[in-house]
Amino acid sequence: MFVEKSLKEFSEFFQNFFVVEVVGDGFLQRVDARLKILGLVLLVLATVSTFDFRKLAVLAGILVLLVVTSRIPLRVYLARIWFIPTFSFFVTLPHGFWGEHTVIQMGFVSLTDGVFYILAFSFRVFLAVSFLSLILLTTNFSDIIRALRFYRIPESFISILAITYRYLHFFFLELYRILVAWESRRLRDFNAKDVWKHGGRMLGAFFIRAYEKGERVYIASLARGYDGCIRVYQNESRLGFVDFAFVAIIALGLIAFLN
Amino acid sequence: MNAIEVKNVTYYYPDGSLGVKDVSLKIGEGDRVALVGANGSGKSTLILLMAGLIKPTAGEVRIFGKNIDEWDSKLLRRNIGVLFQNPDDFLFNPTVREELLYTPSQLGIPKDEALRMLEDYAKAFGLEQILNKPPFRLSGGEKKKVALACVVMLKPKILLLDEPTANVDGKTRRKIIEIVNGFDGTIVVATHELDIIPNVADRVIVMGMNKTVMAEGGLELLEDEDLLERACIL
Repeated sequence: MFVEKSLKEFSEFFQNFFVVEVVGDGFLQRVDARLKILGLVLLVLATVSTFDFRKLAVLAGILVLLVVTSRIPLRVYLARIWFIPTFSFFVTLPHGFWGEHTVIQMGFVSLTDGVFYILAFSFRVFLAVSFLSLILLTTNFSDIIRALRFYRIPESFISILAITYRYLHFFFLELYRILVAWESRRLRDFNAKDVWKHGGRMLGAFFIRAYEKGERVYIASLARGYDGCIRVYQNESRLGFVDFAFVAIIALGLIAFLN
Repeated sequence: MNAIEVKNVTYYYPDGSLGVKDVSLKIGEGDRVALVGANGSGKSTLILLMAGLIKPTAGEVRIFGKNIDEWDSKLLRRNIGVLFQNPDDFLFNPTVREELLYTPSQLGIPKDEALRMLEDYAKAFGLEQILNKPPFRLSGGEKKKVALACVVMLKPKILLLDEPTANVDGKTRRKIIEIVNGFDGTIVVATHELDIIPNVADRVIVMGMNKTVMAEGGLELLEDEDLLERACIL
């Protein structure tokens, strides 16, 4: 039951995780996609390069500034980012019992200095996921593709990314539908053996359906002019005040981070 | 000149099942044809064959007198618009705006022209409010309208519609019929909804369950109950 429920929740969550509509109309939404991607990726690199809480706090400050000025509703923002940091928190949880020095004693449970590692690690994941989510929440996918082309990212990588992006929603939607159909046709609760047996069949059905769906989407894309290369219109690239403001924020933030 | 000519076409799917068998038909330029038949009679397969999206196992398809394989692929796509039965297969871009710009960009239509087309058709189809929404979050009727707009905005010479009014509400259905009626070109509508045919076609082709053409003629075929029963439509 737990496996099935978890799968259903995952498929529901990931259906919407990768496919985002641009929310709000604020600062980041107006920044040129090329600068935005570069700036936010630099912040991600800064995030993963340190465990120092003071430096992470500087990055958190930049994050808050960007979220607030971009008018991204907190509910939408948190709904997108909660999962991965929470997951990483639980993955690193054993470190809290493995450190050399006990820092907190609660009855017979003693927490070691490993808790700082857990907190720093989870905070880093939170910041990195947040910066990456800011790209998705404030940039149209076609602008992301245009920006990647500008940076001369190999075309094969861009095509794979574009195709994956298109199929991911269908992939999780198909899984979700199978799980719901399975649940609606079951007359009794399954034990672990039943779940294993029927889960195998369900997985087989899922692969066949995903394959067939892929074929249909492919034929439809051929009908719409796809010939192996995904083309998007180029935007006129005039940088304006918001772009320079963004560069200034990132530059000042990184200087503060390095000091 | 015939817009579409299907000559002794047979199609077997890769799994060996029969799609259509020895189908021959001619559709003239400007004709409005309804392809009727029960589920599984081969209507959708025939639409895909006429669009050049699958290759016949035997026989040939000619578009404006030229074998479909000899057409330049971009030119063929510009000339033939296909609306798929399930809009979820057809719409795969992140936003409605990008859906509408997808084919123009793939076919190399200049950006200014594409943006003008987008503006005109978004207005004509009532899509202005949903341009920035992901297509898969739209209702069934909205998805169908977006898909139809994507096809019609390119002003193809041939429009192939597979069940255009399936699973939509009455209002959307009327809108779709209105749009199809306003289209100036050759139309082939595959459907098993007989009541829409007088609104969108003036000629009928009946497909049988043996995957062949059972009858061809005017709208009077829709009153031949015996024929429609044999075709498992009634």
